[in-house]
Amino acid sequence: MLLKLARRSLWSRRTTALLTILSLSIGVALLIGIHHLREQARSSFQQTLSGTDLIVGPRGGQMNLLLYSLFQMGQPSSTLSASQYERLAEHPMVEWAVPIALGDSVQGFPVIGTHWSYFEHYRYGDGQPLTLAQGRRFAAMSDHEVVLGATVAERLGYSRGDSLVIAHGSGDVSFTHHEGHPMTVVGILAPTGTPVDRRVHATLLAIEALHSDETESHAGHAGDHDHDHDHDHDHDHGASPQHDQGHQAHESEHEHHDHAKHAEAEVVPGDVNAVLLGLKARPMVFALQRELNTNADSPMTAIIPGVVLTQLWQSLGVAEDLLYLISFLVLLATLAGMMTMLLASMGERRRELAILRAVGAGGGTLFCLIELEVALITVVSLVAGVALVVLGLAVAQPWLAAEFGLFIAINPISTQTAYLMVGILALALLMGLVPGLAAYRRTVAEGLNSGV
Amino acid sequence: MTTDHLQDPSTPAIVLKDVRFSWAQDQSPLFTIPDWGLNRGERLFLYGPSGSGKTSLLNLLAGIILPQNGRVELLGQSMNALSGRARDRFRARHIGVVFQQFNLIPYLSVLDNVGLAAHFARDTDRVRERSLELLRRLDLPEAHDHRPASHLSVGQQQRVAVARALISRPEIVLADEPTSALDSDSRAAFMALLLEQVEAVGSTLVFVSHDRSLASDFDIHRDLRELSRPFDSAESR
Repeated sequence: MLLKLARRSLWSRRTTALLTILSLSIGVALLIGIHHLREQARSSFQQTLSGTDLIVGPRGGQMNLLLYSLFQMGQPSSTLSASQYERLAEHPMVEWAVPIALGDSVQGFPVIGTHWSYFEHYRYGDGQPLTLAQGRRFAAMSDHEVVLGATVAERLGYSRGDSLVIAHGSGDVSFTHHEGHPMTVVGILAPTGTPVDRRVHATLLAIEALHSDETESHAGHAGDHDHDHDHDHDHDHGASPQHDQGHQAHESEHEHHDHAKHAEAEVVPGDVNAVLLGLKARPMVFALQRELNTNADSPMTAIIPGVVLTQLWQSLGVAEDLLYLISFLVLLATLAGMMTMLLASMGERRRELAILRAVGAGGGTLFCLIELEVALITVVSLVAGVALVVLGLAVAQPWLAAEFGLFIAINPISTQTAYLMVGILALALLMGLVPGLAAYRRTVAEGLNSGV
Repeated sequence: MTTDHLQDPSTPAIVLKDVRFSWAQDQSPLFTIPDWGLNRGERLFLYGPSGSGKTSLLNLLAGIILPQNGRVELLGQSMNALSGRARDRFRARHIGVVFQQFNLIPYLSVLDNVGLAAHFARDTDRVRERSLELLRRLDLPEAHDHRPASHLSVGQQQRVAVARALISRPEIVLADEPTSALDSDSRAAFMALLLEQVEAVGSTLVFVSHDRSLASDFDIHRDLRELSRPFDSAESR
C-alpha cells in the first residue's frame, strides 16, 4: 500500500519527478559508464600479453619499447641485429624467442614480421593462445603469406585467399606501396580484444622480401631461391618515381640488412625491433633482465611486460581517476537535486501528510514513504542510467574497437558495478533522510492542521 | 495492547482530566479542561469561534499530541501511557476523522482513499466490498469509484471522507467543520448522511463547528470556552 502511495504520489508530480529521474540517470550513466570503461580498459590493458617473461629491444626507453612492441604505437628508435637476436635465442636461460619486426602497414594496420613460433608462444588474457577463425598459419618459409588479426579482416573485408598490398610506414597514407609483392591471406585469427586483432602477421622472410624486392641488392638474397616472388618483382622494376623515393629511404634506414642476409633464412633474416622471450624458469627473469640491460657490448633494453604495463596504466590512471571523481561529483549534484525536489514538495504536500497522519500513519510511516519515493526514483534512474550506458556502448563500441583497439563489453553489469549501484542507492537514501526527516518532524509538530 | 477493555461499553468514550494545553511550554495555556468526558454513543456538538483551540483539542482527542499537563483517556485507554507509534495505531483503529475539506489524497482513487484508512487500521478483510457498500450508502455513484479523488465535487469528496472515517467502524468520530465548504442544500443532506452512518456504526461523535444552526441535530451542545475553566471550578459535563 505504501509502495502504491509512493508510486501514485510521484506520478501525480510526474513532471518534476521525471526531470529528476532524467538528471539522476545521466549522473548514474556517467559514473557507471566511466567505471565500466575504466575496468574494461584496465583489464584489456593488462591482458594484452601474458606468458612472455621479457620483451627485449634495442637500448632505449622502457615505455617506448612496450608501446611499439605491444601496441604498435610510436616508432622504434633502432633495431636489434640478427646476431643479437641469435644470441638471445641461444641464451641458456631462454626457452623460446619470438622476433618482432615493424615498420610496414596495410591501410593503417601494422604489419608484424615474426616467426612461425609467434602462434605457439604469444598468449593473452589468462594465457589463452591465439586461435585461427579460418585458414591456417603462414608457412615458416613463406614470403607471401599473411595471417590477419580479426579487426583487420573485418574492417578491410579480407578473407582467406585474398591478396593485399603492404605499404611502407605506418600511416594510413603511405607513398610507398610494396605493390610488386602482393601478399596472400592464408588465415584469420579469432578476436582477442588485444592489439593482435589489429595486426597483419607475416614471416620475417616476407618482410625482408618486400624490401629487398625494391633494393638493387636483392640478387644476393640468400633465402629466396625457391620463392616465386622473384618472377613477380622483375616486372615491377620499371619503377615509378614513388618507388624510387621509397627505396632510397629504405636503404639508408636499413643499411645493416645486408649483414642480416647472410644469416640462415630459417633463423632470422634481417633485423628485428623487439624480441619476446620465454624463460626456462621464471625466477631467472630478473637476472637475465639485469644482464641484458647492463651488457655494454650489445646494448639492449629488456623489460618485464607486466611491470611496465602497470607503470603505463598508473601514468594514465591520474587522468582517469580525475574523470571518475568528476563523474562522482556529478552524481552527487544530481542526488542533491533530487533532495531539493523532495524538500520543495513538502510544502505542497502538507495537506497530504496531514491526511495520512489522520488515518493513522505515524511520523515513521511518512518518513518511510519519502524514503520509498527516493528509492523508486533512484531505482528507475539506475535502470535508465544502465540502459543509457548500454545504448551508448552499443553505438560507440565499433568505433572504439576500430580506433583504439579497445574491446568494451556492452554489458556494464559486473559485481563491481552492482556494488556501485547499491552504493548509489544507499547514498540516495542517505540524502533522502533530509526530506524524510522534514516530513517526520513537520507532521509530528503540526498534527491535524486541517485548515491549511 | 489488547482491545477487549476498549469494547467495554461501561467505560466512557472520552475522559479529559486536568488538561492544560499550550503550543509551547512557556506560553499561557490555550485552554485548560479540569474534568470533562463523553459516554459511548453520545453525539456532541462543540461550538467554538476560531482561535478558541478547536484544532488543538481535536489533536488531543485524536492522540496526535499530548497535553503538557493532565490525562487523556480514550475508550478507557490512557493516551499518556502509549508511545507515539501506539497512539498512531490506536487512532487508525478506533478514531475516524473528517476535516473541513481536503480530506482525500488527490491522486488516489475514491476506493483507494477509503482503503488507505483500512490499511493503516490493519483492517483489510474484505475492504473492497465494505468500501463499495459504504460508498453506495453514502449516495456516491459507482462511476466515481475508480476516479481520482481530485475529480470529485467538494460535496462528493466530503461524503468519501465520511466513508473513509467509518470504514473501520471506529468507536469515536471526530468531525472538524465538515460542512463549511458546502452550500446550504448539500449541507443538510450531508449532515443527514453523516448522522445516519455514525448511528449505524454506533460511534461516539464529536462535531466541532462555529455554525450554531447545525446544533439542533445533536444531543449535547457545548461551548469550548465553557469547558475551558480554571482548575478550581471543577465542572462535570
